[in-house]
Amino acid sequence: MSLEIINLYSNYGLKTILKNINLKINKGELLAIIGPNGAGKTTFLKCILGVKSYKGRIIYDGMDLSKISEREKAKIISYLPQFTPIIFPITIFENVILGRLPYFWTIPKKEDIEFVNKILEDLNLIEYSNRYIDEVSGGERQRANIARIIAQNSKIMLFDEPTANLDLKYQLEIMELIRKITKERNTITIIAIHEVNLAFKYADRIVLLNNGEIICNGSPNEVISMINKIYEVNGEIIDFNGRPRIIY
Amino acid sequence: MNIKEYGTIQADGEIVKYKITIFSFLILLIFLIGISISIGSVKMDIIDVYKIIIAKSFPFLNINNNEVLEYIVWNLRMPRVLGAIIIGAILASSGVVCQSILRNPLASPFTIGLSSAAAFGASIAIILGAGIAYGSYTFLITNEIFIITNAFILCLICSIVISIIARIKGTNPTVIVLTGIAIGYFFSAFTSILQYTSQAEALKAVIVWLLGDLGLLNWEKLIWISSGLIGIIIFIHMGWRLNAFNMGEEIASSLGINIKKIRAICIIVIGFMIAVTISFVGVIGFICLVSPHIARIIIGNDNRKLIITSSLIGSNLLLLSDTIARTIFSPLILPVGAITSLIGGPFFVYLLIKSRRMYWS
Ligand SMILES: Nc1ncnc2c1ncn2[C@@H]1O[C@H](COP(=O)(O)OP(=O)(O)OP(=O)(O)O)[C@@H](O)[C@H]1O
Ligand SMILES: [Mg+2]
Repeated sequence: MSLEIINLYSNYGLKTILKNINLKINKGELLAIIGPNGAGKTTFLKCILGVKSYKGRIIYDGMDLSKISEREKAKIISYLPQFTPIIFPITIFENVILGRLPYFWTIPKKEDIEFVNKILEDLNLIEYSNRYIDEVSGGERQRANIARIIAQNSKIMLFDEPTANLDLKYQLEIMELIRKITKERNTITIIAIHEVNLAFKYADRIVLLNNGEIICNGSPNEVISMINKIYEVNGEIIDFNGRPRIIY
Repeated sequence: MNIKEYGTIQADGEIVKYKITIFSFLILLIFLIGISISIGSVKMDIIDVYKIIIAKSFPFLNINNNEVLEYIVWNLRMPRVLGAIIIGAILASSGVVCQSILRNPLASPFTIGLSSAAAFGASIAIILGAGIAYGSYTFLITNEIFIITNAFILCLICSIVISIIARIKGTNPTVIVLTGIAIGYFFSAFTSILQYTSQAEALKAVIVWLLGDLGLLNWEKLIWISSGLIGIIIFIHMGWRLNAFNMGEEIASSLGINIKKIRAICIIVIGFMIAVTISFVGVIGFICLVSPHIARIIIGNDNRKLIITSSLIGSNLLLLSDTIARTIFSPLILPVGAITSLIGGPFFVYLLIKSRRMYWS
């Protein structure tokens, strides 16, 4: 089973943002999308989620994702947006249990609540569970949002900048966690990420996007040579336990 | 105590707080019912009031009461009191949902034009003595039923128009709010023109209607108005899905919410709730805005709790206002809509200043 993106085009008004994207991602694969600001990473994730219109086809397990009802799709895809504008904040517990929304109608089941409590425990969020989401640190909020994604238990997970606002410890911990879940639950995981070294450390495969086009699609070692050119920097490439890193 | 227990204890604490809130407002409401019914031109003992209410609600108990008092309590004063409770609840809960789905603390059924539409409908009926529901006949003496039907129909039409816009442009709540405001101005303009061209008598009738009045309620009207309570049940059922809106449109849709559809449905339901209340009692506005915010300050933004809490607050506020409106300068009865704002406004500001959380910052 895989997620297949075929001839994907997307535009905002007259401006074409994504140009002829073709990509296949397998189950259990952690794919990182990197690229400069405005490259189209967020737009790409939104197309897969179905909140952005596009031309082309996005196929999961033989099904065209655009033809599935919202509720069924929510069982397949979960999404962590880059920005979450909050007007009426809810507690962390209330936020995480929203991840179970595709599985109940009126009231969450007992299993849903137990599942959520377990996730909160795993992410060291129990003591924050009744804190309001706008009254915790950026990192705690981010972890709460990631906890919601885990609670959603979907086959495809899309993360837009999951490590934003996190301190070094949590950057590594969250990436570790995303990788662990990807392997354990055998999910298709796509993360858009700026921290290229985190991508090199954790991703199975990396797609380098620039101006809406795939410049490079391959293993960390295959992609790293393009970094200096695309980002217009002069970093030094080193090898760290078989995976590349870039130092600047 | 291990971590898990700690977590459960905290969650229980929230539930206890919620239950205490509900319980307190219920007690307050029961108390207000007694007070409100006992005062008036015929004064009576508050205990007698409760006795009569219990006797009437549970006839099989065979409690005997003074028949005159019973008539005053049950036929004259009870409809008004019960009306205040039901209407307060309907207005407040529709306000909560309006804010939640439009993700806007200033949104209310009144800011999106529903009341202006109803007011226009009522004005046509009063001033021209004609209802669009009945064609273009002109009547010299306006019939109450025309006012009600006209207000109801225009309010509903307005909500249908807004919900169609929500279905088309529903991903952007600001567009919906602004459209509603524009529609409101549109209807207000018509109302102004009508008022400008009307006779003094009719003008006064319109103004009285616009201020809101619970005095015309009777048991029959209450049955009609109660149909708005269905909206509250629908909203409670949708509570969790409404919570998804708290996290923003993108997260909500990633959780399987059809944003446009839910917005359109909620606006229609809100339209019905508002139509069925204000077409009977006129424009009583402030409750829609203030009760949800008071509830948000007390118990947070979980819509399931919010809808119930805010309904109770709305009931209390409207009943209190109406009691004050008809007693403070008795026998002169002040317009309840104005009193609501007079009491609710300062209390709201007080809560805003006192509250720890500036929850929309
Ligand atoms: N709502 C929008 N309307 C018009 N143009 C948009 C909109 N959103 C994004 N764009 C444009 O689309 C392009 C790609 O944006 P996108 O958000 O996908 O980039 P990104 O790779 O996620 O960037 P970043 O690293 O800054 O998050 C940018 O040029 C941006 O200006
Ligand atoms: Mg982005």
